Amino acid sequence: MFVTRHIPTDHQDLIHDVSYDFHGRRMATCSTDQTVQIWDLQDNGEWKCTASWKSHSGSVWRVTWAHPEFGQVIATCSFDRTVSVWEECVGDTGRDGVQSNWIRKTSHVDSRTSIMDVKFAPKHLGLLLATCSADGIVRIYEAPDVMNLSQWSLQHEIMCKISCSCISWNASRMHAPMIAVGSDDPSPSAGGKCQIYEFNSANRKWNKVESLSVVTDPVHDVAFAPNLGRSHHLLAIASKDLKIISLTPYG
Amino acid sequence: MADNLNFGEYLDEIFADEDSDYEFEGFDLDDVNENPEVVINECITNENWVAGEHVPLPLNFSGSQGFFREINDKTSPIEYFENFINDQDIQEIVQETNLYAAQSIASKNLDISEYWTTDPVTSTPFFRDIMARDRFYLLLTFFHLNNNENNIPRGQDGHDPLFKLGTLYHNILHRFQSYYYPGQNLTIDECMVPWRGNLSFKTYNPDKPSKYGLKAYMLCDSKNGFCSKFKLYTGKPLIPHSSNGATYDLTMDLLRGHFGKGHILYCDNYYSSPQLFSDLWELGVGATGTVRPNRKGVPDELKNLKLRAKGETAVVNKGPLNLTKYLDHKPVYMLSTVSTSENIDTNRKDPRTGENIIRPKVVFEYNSKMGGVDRSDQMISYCKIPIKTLKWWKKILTLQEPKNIVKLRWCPTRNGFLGVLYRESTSVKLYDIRHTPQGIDELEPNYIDRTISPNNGGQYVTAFNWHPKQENRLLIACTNGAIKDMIVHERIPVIFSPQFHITWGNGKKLVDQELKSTDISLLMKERASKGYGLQSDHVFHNVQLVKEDAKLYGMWRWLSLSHDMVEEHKSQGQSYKHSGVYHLMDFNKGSTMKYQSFQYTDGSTGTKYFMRQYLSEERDKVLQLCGWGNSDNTEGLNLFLKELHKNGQTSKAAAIALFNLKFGQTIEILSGKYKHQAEDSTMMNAVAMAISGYSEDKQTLWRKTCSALLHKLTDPYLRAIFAFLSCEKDNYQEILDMKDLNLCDRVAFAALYLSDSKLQEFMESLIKEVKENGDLDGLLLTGLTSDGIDLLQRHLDRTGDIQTVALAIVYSLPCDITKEDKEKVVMWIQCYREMLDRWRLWHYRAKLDIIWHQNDTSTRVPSQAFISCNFCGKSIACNLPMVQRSLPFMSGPMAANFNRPKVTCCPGCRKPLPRCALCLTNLGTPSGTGLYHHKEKLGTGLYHHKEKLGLDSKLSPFQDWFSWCQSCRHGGHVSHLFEWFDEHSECPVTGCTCNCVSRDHLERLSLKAVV
Repeated sequence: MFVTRHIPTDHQDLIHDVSYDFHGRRMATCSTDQTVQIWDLQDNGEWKCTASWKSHSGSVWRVTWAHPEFGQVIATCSFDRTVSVWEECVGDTGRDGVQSNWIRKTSHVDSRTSIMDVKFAPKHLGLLLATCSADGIVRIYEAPDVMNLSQWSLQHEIMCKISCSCISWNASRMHAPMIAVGSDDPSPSAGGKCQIYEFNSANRKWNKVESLSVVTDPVHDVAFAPNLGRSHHLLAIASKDLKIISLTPYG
Repeated sequence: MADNLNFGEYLDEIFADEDSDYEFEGFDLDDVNENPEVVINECITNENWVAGEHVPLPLNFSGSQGFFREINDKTSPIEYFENFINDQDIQEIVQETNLYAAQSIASKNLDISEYWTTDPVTSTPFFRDIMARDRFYLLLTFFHLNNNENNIPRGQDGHDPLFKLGTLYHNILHRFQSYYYPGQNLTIDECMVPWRGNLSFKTYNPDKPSKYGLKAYMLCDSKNGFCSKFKLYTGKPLIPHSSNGATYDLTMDLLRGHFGKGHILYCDNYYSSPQLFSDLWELGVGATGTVRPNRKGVPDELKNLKLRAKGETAVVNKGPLNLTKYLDHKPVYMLSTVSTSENIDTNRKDPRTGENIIRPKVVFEYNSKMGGVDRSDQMISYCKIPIKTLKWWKKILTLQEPKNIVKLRWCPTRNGFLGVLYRESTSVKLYDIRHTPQGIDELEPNYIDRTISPNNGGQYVTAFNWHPKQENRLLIACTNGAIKDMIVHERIPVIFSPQFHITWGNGKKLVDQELKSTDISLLMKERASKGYGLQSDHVFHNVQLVKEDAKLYGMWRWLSLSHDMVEEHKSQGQSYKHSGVYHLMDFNKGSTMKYQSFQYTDGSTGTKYFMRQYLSEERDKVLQLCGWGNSDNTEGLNLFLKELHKNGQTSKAAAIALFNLKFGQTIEILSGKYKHQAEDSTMMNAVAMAISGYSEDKQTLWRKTCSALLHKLTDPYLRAIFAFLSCEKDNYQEILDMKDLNLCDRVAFAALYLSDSKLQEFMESLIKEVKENGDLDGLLLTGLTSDGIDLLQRHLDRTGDIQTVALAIVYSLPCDITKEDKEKVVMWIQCYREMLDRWRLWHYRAKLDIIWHQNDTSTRVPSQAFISCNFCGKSIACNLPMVQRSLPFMSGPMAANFNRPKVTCCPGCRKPLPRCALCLTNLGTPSGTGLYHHKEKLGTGLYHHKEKLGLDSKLSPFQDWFSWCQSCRHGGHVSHLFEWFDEHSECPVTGCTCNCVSRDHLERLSLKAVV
């Protein structure tokens, strides 16, 4: 019933993340071999690698696409404690040698430990980038001028007090900006492994609104479902098992 | 022997030298004192110096410079070498080595075998070719130069630090002197032999390039750097030095053999002292060197003398000594027995001023002759093999473990994966150390650790091993004898594509799978691509596309009927909004509504029925919205019945006919007057029979039987028929509670048979119910009021079907809702639009936008592109009135002329608009190709913002439009540009190198596909 097919990559080591762009016609992969590859869907349905480059000096944990409104932009995070933002630049190569060129626009080096996840905020919040590091700090960067991707300012630093492994934005337009952070701390005594933070526009701070105490196993990934106008938010948490949690805002 | 009382002072003075590289502790006192040539006259003190300088006596060099043995250009290097180390030495080495070999019983375990390794990576055939490994080992083990039995250990009298070198050292020293006789000028300096081995007299100087090494004092020819004599520094000697100081002794010792031949010695301030130079002069050796002002014998007057200008000199002399103080950057003291201090031209130019550099002669001489040892070093460096004790390994990482480690294993299939097992542990620990950046001194550990536990009831792990081929697989053995086959899992990245693919990483590979499911997202995309929701002319046709979902039927039916009603009202000049029937009834209006009860007679059969129906204008509308047609217009109802019948919904048709008290028609329908599906026709006939037997008498057997039969029927409408016929007077609760009847039918029924208060009660309870269930049929009741929004929200929460919700809103606009609700509603539509964008259904979305803004006229869509004049910056838009206020002098006819649809110049400043790069006519003129049928080659996305210009009333053909490159801003008529870019990739404007075609990613992709 299901037809699977293998896409041969030239990654030399374990692939850590795969990410589709907004339309699902481009794909980015990243791997322990410190490279990032960009794939384009061709008309015949085949994926073709159009760019591959060494992006970091450590394993690249995650890769994520920005909304196409901001251009062809991806962000990567790595064990080498940096987050990089890359933009595709079309060289003057003419009709034949069309090879896209990805330029490092910026590199955030604030973290003292490995950066475990990086995610662009939903479009309506502007060009925001959230990162989380192994020492439990969530950093939110903003590019005030969307035309200038090399200028970012560190807007917020949230101390989670627990080693972070993954992060997810809530894409709902109806609700204040919200982030779910998962932790891979193995000790069960460390409390809830998934925390929800919400932006309080009154004091312009991110506040912890919830720590899901039902999740005690290490969390490997979290993801908010697309909101689609629901009055509640759906959060999927990948741990030892999969939990789908419905968050209903009150008040 | 000339012992002197002042020796003690010299001692102190020399020990006070802090600047020296290393304190030379002197040589054997006897070396100096026993030398018969050394005649030491009175000690030179700092007294008796005379101002000015004396003219030195000329020194005649009587030595004979040259080789003692015949050397010419044909002499091979090995012959040079053999001059210093000859067969006899080799013989001695062999002898001593063999001797040591014989003496030694214990054999050492060395690991230099790496040199003989056959590993292709590190293999070095050179060593293998020269000698067998074992032979080398044997030789290395017993390599020796002196007989150990004669060695006197350190700390005992007679200990020789260089004992191990045997006679080789002395022989070589001797040969250095006997091989070549140096020229007149000699240099003494120290040199370092870099070496980090283990030796008691190794020196350490952190300021030098080679920090560790052996120090040697060398006597070299100043010119060619030939080393005539050297002395290894071997640590503090046991025998104290002479009273003149250690460096005095050292210099004397090195110069022995060169006395009386007229040599001139150059040395630095480590060695020089007035006493030394004076004594050397007596021994027939001239000397020049810097001197430390705190040396004994340097007069205080000179020390205290202040020199003002750079280059100034002050000279004193005493006997053969000239002592010059010269101010360079700081004062320099030069002592010489051979040179004077007059300024001479050095023939070098100052790089800054360009003038020739002037120096005192003594400084110049010193600078030019001092480099002998350095020259020697330089020569050595050309042919030196660095003697290093190489460390092959480098510490990358230290892992601290709490317990003893019993087993360590690298994973054979993964790079940098280490398995560690401790004693008495229930798990195996894995370290992933490949992330450790090399060459960086990291303070924090850079590894990832994991614990693999076999979960074997707390049993200790005794052993583990990796699978040799398969990745991440290992066997774990436990104390109870169980062996577990385990696989180390990695986090698998999974991603869901907007194209309904699911992709996940599998090691180094990617796996992609198309998703087929009944998920609402897939369904929505499928419906959208079919054009669901775009049938704005025939609203009800939309439902045809979602036939599989019966729940959507009611909503679309209501929308369709409501639309008809809106159109009807519009034609009558009234405004009507898509409100629900509850709102329509307007119960708040109070008691002005009155029910009318009447007796109804079926014309066809002539039977009289006494039923109470309620009639009012509002109820009429309700019926109409429910699809039951107007009460005064039976045509609508008949059409509806026919349609139902045609669709096979016989029972429904019959029930509705009955509820409208058209008994005859009901029986006709049931008994098959209209041809209907045959399957349950017998049942239908039976029902028809039953209805025919209806009588008003409440207590008849017929009625009882009907009630009994009621519960056996499956068809809800047939049951409704019986319920209706058998119900108590005005008590229709049974029918109203039948949840499997269509909601609209229940509402219509209620509108016909319930009084105002009861109807309100019924509707309110119904609204509550549909809101709870999110039943879209309920929109009929609520319309797009706040209740309706709640209902839609509930529906969304249950199903996630944003598509239908968004469409329902688009079609029921405009409506009366609060501002907050309006925001929510717009958000839903935006959500749906974004989803369409994601699916690249842009055309669909654009059509939806059109419908949306047609229905909702409250928001105006702003223009998305503007064109402004290059000169005055005013907007050029043809739908703007051609303003005359900016051009008050323009006459009427001119203004009228302006209103022509063709605009070729700015309406503000009358300057011409940009020209087409190809045909050179101004923007706004037709291209000329649009008139005849042009073969269309519509490109995709190359030119983004098509702006219609020039023609207001009729749309000009696409070829006539003006377009431009977003990068270089050159452009022209679309048709011209297409022709141009068919053959070219560069911009048509002269001198513009913009590769307009390659600017567009999509275009490039399609080009690539073609290429």
